[in-house]
Amino acid sequence: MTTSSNKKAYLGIGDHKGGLGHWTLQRITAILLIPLSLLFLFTFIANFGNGHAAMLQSYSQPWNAIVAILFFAIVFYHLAIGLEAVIDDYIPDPHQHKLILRLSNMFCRAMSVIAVLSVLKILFST
Amino acid sequence: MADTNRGNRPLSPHLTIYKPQITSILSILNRITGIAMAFPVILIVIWFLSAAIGPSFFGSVDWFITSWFGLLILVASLWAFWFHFLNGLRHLAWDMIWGLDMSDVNKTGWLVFYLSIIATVLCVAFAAWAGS
Repeated sequence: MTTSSNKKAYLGIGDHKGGLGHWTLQRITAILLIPLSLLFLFTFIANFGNGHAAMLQSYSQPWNAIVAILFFAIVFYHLAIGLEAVIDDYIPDPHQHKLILRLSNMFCRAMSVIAVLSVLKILFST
Repeated sequence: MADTNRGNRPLSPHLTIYKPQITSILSILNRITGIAMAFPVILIVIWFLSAAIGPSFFGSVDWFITSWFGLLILVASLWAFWFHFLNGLRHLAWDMIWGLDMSDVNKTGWLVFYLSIIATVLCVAFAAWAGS
């Protein structure tokens, strides 16, 4: 809209553009994580340390698998937004900022895919 | 560039001269616990991945997380979780313009701190009861 914003966007400095969207998404994911993190945590604690067979048995139940999938998908999104805020604050150099932000997002996406695929495999092959 | 003293002044936010307060300490702890929890979450993802791959891989990952070092990481992360969770609720309350008076901010801050410790202890007791 304004020349100044467009110039900053072009140079990759200043105006973050997505700030308000990220602020809202951080809150939405936080609210979703209130029930999901608790359900995931209690299921994890109940299954932790009981061996492979018990773990597969538990997460092959659809409810536990769905909770785990939703938890991982949303928690890594929440983490990516949080890391972005930290990167914005502490990495002033625009090139480093761009690189580290990209690595951080790639990493969160990869972890989320690995987690969801693992749970799906447990759900469908047990 | 009227500022001729650039470089000689203390840098904002003057961390070295500010007295630590419940507000500032909890604020930075929210970030620290948020970032720190990335590590246990990755550990748990590896636990799930290994369970999906097979018993021998699962055996080694499970051995690590149930070792004293693994348990230390998990218990510390449990506190980080409860702190971040409860302080997150505090943030959501602030977003709805609730509890923003200085006295409320201090009270809810200490409340979050103590509740995070109590919740951690209860979860460790639950884990011990659940047989792990």
